[in-house]
Amino acid sequence: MAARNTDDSRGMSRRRFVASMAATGCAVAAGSGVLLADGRFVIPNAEGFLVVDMKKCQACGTCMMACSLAHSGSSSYSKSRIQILQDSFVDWPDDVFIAQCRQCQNAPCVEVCPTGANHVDREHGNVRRVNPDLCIGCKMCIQACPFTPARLQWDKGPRKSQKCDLCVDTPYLDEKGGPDGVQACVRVCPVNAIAFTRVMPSQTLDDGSYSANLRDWVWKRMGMTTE
Amino acid sequence: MTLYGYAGRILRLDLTARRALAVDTARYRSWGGGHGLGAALFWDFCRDKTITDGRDPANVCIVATSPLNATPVPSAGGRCEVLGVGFGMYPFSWFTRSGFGGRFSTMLKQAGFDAIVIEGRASSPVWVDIRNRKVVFHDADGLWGTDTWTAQQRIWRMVGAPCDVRSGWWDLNATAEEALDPATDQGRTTQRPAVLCIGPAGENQTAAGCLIHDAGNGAGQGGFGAVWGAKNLKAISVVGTGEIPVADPKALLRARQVTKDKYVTDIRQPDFATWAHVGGLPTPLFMNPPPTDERRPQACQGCINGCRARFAVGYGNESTCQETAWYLPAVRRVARSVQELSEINLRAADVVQKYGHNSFLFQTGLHWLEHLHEEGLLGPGKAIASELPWDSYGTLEFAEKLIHALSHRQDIGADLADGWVQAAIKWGREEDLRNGHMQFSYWGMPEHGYDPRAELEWGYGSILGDRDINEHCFNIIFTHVTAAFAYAKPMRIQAQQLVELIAEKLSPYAVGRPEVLDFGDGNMYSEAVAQLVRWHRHYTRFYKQSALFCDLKWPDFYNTNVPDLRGATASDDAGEQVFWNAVTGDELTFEDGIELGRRIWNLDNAIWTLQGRHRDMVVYAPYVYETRYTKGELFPFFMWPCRDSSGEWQYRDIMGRSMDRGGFEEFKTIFYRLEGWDVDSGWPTRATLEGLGLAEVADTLEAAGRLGKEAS
Amino acid sequence: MVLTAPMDLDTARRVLGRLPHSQRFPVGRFVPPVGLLGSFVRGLPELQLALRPEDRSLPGVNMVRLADWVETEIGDPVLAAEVRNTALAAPSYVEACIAVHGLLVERLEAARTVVGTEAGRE
Repeated sequence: MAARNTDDSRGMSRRRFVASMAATGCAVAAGSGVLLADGRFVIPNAEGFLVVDMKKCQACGTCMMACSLAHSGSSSYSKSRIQILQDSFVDWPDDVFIAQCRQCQNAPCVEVCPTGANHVDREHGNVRRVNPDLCIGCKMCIQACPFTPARLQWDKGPRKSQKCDLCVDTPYLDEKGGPDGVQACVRVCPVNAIAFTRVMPSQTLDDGSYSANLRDWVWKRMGMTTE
Repeated sequence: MTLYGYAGRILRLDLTARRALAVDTARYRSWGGGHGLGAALFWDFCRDKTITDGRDPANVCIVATSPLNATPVPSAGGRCEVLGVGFGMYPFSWFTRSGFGGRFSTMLKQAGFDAIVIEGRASSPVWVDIRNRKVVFHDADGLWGTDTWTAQQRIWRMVGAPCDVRSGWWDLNATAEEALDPATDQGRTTQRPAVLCIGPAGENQTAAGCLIHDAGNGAGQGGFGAVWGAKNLKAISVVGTGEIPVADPKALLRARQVTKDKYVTDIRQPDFATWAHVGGLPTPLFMNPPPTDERRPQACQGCINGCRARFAVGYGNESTCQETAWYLPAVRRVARSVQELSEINLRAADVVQKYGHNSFLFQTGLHWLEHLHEEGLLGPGKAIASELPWDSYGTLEFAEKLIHALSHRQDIGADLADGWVQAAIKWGREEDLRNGHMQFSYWGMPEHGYDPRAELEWGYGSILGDRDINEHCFNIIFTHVTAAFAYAKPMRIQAQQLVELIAEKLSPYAVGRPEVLDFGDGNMYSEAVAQLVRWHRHYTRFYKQSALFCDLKWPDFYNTNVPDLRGATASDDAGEQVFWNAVTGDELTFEDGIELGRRIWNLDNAIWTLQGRHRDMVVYAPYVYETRYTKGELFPFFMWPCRDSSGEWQYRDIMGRSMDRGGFEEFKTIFYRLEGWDVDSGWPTRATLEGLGLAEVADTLEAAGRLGKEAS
Repeated sequence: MVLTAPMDLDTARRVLGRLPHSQRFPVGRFVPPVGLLGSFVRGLPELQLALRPEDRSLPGVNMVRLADWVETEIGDPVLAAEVRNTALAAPSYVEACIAVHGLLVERLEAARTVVGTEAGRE
């Protein structure tokens, strides 16, 4: 029997509008953001972002394993908050896609959360993160993510959503994580294809603004293009 | 009780009945993983261990992972081991092994299985669909007869996997109800299934049939493609959303970071000429000049510096090393430009990948075929009839026709399919094994390039085992020293210091005994070299073939990225045992791992003994004794550390000699004695087996009349 | 320059020709860290391709035996002497390979000129 694809259309039904307004109310109540008079929901910008060089990645999946381990103590691709997708039968550079959370400025996943579980963590650089104690597993945040694949994950064990928190909550890392600390994926990448930046990339919906050219003179000396 | 590092179940595929059974991994925990796990499974589930043809339905083929797979242990996260009785070797096809990389082992673990035991034979071609712990047999209509790339992509479509790298999450649940029930929720993934399959070379049960995964991961030696073909098994597809528990995740991540920071050259300011095994830059190993700079290095899961590449040019993706070497000498003679050289060579690599054809047999085999043709012995209307277009040797057209014929048992493929040495005998060319035209040194396999007359541990390990070892543990010495010598560059490490650094880590048999590395003429058949070979067999059986540390990165004996030059192997901060313990919760010392390797190696020998092995069979091809490894055959010098008559260490050229038959026989005796085997037969003894907790194995050998006599 | 000095037609044809298989010369390839491949050549044009400098690998040629082969099998003692002298003078094996490759390029070009000139006359 065929498996189902979970990416729904991005259109807003009346039912979802009402639900999202309620959620926005919760987000406001949780202190995540401010609801302006014109209906816009505004949250403070994150103080850290991941940018990636998809032309550089060696598709080893080490970041996925490290991410999962650092957060949960077990290794699982399905529980990684950064996803590396690859196709052996496609040519460079289209053979690899890196799906990292963007810590979006307007963060639809925060806005729609009915319990405030997905919130802006003001103590840790306004990282958008899910508090597992409050998450009820409704999956609305996953559906609200405008990117494909969605940048939130469904953890089927505890039946909750999760997302990249720039390693704020990483009990299995020696070092402190978060925007003022280390990120497991950045640190472990063998080719340095993931970078942390404090400068918020342009909030367009394409890949370009969160992509960076991280290839340098060493890459060129190794015989590979830096373009 | 949590089995840290393990998925917890072993999958048994009964192809005859088309049913799947599961076995608890806990019963086999003491064997580690990979080869150890697989050999123990073979012992239990292969009822007839006397078979010497892997196509026999009684054969059992095991695909085994390690606890380190699906974790970020550097260059151990993605390897996978294959075991069983092989096909196409000479005079017997031994119980043998192969390995491959990529994504399969990580995905199999996350699907909930530590190994797959393939038994019986399907009545018609099938493929197996594993999604988490759901296992379904499918008829292979529409797959049988396809090349390996087509088969994998068709399977992806059939199972409904995401169609491209920008697809969304794939929900593995069949229904909404399944997704909502915590007990049945299959979870989600962005990953495609990892598929292991055969192509025409395996379907037609040829000696060159191998197993292919993705574009360029292959289990080559052993003829396992033919084994699967004989079982009517086209492919196994696996996808999983599970998780692998790790005993000490902090220690694991810490050791991984130490490896990157201390033992691997800094990619921001690298030492481009580092002397290290684990410590270099990502170095794709294709043998031709790069066809383009528009490429990336590509790696197995968890690798710390990848050895493959993907290109922008439409060919050659993931091919590396052997499959880019087999046709290169031929292409080099006809290509008019560097670009043409690279393109033909990489497209020829694509051909062997798609046919699932083990190109290693061409390592010396292709020269032999060309020699036969040029001598007027092989061709249209010749004694060895062949309609292949030999006049276009070196072109892509010839490569395609050659591989097609050999994969379909056509033309000269009809004879080569059952083994190359067998074909040589059938063609009346046994003399080529004496005169060196056919450099197939051991067990019907080609010499690797590291001639047994020069690189002793390579040849000894191969002839005392079951196959060309393809283990570069010590071979890295040759590479570093010979390359530096060729460029007249200073040696990064002088000979004495090099051997002393290595000898520090050769625990327990040769620690502090650098003489074990002296490959000079006077030391070729010594007890010292025998100790090195023992250490090598046991280290590789556990750390590389059971724990699955990659051969291209481990062991790391010496390392110029480290101020004191000591490599990562056996170190307290990032040694193999550190990673093993962090994942599994064990408290192994490095030496414990060597001892586990000895146990596994003895189980292997027990199986070979049941198959009919005797020391009288353990002999090289005649040319190894009867001809000299002369200068210029491959490279004008073969540099290795040796002691001179005053005991001073130097790097010397060890070309120009042969192996002495009597000397090798003496060496065998020494080796068998050190291993605790009967020196007359090479069979393991009861004392040795019982000392390893293998009393049951001794009983079986005794019942078969093949238990080794104890030393008097 | 010795190599580009006029050569007779017979020599030029031998320089450009292809020997029988039985007179082939072994030329390998070393691709660090794991590749050591065997091969052979049957003439100087093939040898020039085999010695073409590449970034990532080294040809495997015994220069002393090469010079002997050029002298006795190809039949070009002039080139053979240059190969010997060049190999002896080179500070390293790699530089010897590069230099000998250069010699081959010159000698083959000269041979092609001779053969082309003769063809023009005919």
